[in-house]
Amino acid sequence: MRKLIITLILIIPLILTGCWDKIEIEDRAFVMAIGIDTSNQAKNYVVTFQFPNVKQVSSAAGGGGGGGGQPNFSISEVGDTVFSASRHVSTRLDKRLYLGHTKAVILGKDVVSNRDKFLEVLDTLDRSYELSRKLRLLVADGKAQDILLKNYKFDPDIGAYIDDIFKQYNRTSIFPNIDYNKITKSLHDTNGNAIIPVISAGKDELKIAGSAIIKNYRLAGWMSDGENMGYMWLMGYVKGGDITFDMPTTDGKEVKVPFNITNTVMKRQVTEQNGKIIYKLKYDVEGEVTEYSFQKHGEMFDTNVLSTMEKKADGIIDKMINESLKRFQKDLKVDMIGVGDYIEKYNPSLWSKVGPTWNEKFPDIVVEPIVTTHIRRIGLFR
Amino acid sequence: MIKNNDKISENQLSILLFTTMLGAGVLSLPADVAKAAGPNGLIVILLGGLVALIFARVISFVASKFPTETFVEYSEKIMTKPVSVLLTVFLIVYFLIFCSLNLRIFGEVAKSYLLNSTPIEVIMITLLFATAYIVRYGIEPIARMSEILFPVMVIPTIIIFLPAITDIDLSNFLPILRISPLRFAKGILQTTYSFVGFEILYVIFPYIQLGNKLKKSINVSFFSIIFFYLYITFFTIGIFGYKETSVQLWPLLTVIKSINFPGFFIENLESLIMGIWTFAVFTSISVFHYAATLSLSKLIKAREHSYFVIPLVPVIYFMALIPESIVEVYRYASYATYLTLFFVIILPLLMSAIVKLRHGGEKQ
Repeated sequence: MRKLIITLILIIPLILTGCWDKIEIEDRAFVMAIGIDTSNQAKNYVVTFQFPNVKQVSSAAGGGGGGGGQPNFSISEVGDTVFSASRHVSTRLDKRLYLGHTKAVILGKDVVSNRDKFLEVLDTLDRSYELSRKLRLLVADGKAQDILLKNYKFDPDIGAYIDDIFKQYNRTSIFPNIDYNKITKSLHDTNGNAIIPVISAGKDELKIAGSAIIKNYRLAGWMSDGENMGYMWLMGYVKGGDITFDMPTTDGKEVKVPFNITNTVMKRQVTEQNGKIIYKLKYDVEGEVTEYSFQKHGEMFDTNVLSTMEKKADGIIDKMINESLKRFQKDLKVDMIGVGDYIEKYNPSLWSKVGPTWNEKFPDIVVEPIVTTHIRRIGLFR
Repeated sequence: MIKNNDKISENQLSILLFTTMLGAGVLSLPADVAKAAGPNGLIVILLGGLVALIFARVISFVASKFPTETFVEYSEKIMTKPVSVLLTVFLIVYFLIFCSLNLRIFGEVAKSYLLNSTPIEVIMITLLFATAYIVRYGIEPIARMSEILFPVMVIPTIIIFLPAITDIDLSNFLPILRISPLRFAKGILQTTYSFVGFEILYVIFPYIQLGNKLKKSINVSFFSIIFFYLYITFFTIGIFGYKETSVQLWPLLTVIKSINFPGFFIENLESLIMGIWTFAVFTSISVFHYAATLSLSKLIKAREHSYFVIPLVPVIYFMALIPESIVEVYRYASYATYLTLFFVIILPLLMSAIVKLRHGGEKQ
């Protein structure tokens, strides 16, 4: 009996050696950014992974010492699918790729221009067990590989860098603050329409501005910075940013005045009159004027001046909205500004009438933006 | 040490029902209701839960007429012996089906998210032996285990979702009640299946210290699970919208991926929620396993139920391995709902009708 127990005790450690899935942390490559491009060769995709040099990161955190070399590595691999590319990397890399911390996925322009490939890539991202839903999905204005393989002067870790840029989107409102979660939701809800922010690389820096318009799972056009802000207004995403208007002064000149938006409230309403759908947008914009003219100190402390300024700001915002609207209604003829969604939710009886043929109806609806700007503060001088 | 008298209190019953109902199905629940009722998923859960509560009360009404007997014995009195034997066999199979479904889904999820190279058989056997161990000791340890695990499951889940409250778009729940009544009724019925587990009331009555709080404790457990389901579905559909939710396999895990927890170091909370969910599966499996073992031992008139715990382990294990793929698992699960329809709705109504008629007859 005792021998049996001792034998058992000796056998048990053999089956308790740990689990199948153990991977030491230094054997993992924590991918921070992924770039996906199409390839002209036999294989379909070129996938680029960027991951930090863990050795260098850990030695820096530990207070210096050894550990040199590049701050991070990028590796590209071709494959018939994105997944196979990510697996085939293992023939050239001694580490296991781990995608759970990926912050950004950059799609090359070629990928979004090709409907089939774009659908494939989107499905890969959706089905992945590892990829987070919080990652930033962007479209490159050229090849994604070019963006990931460059050396940048500010922060070499592109994934985290992009994520941080998005956190301050409301300082400008010129690119949509849309993460992967919102993009797939939009693609699911509208069956293939979405707006994806655009990333472009200069010589040694990155820029996120403007956006790509996806219509029916394919790139349909680009939006410039200004148009993008118009889109943000239409969606009610604007919570900050600045606009500039020309303010005529008493001596017959014009001064460029910046208006810094601090908050906006959007109210929507939809009505049907004589078969025409009227979509009313009411904005209450709050903000402050931060520059006027040195010579005019003392003059701004006048509600008349402020109300003129407010009118000017109204006009600028109204123009932005209308320009963006023209783009969607007349050029692209696609509802990306959530009108259909709004009608479906808040006026379901109207939607059951117009819903089935919404794509044809959308260019003819009347959109009426009403902007009311309130200047709350004027800086430190009267 | 508390003495094991093989009896649970009514409060313990309440928690036991909660942890039994909360099982593997919770991962796909938001997708099911979004598919069934579109933006009105929350209403459907509420009504489906109330329907389930009504039938749970019907079952407990029938069972409380025979407080010292399990289904095996009192069904013989209500109906005849052959019918009773047949029904008991089906009931045992029914418990085993849910046991193995829970086990298989647990294995699939654990394999795909956490243990990629571990064979699914190992994951399943490990869990099954853990439940077999506790089932051998009877209902009381299971109930005590549930009591311990209940706060561990519920409190972190509720906290994890809180940071996502700003991502919720309430308009995702609009329009209200614009779907056809037939589809709505069907949705309610389908949601009733998410509350599967209260059928253990058929067999556990002899093990409850009956007082006067039985109805209350059943109500409490149902309202808390309805609240829990509503909470999860509110966040999932609120964030994804019903269109996207309805095409996801395990929306609960996907929604966790999209939560931005403040602070850089806490990322990828799905492993945390999976830990919690493992408890939920564990408690469900052990209760189903216990109910099957108990019914079997009563059917064969064995002295102790614990003889049948280990023999049922391979049965559950091989049943869990029948489906070829995860797609087939959910197909089998949808077949199982026919049995649910019978055991949850038809049989209780039938039996309570007979019991009422008999009682009426006796009085005269």
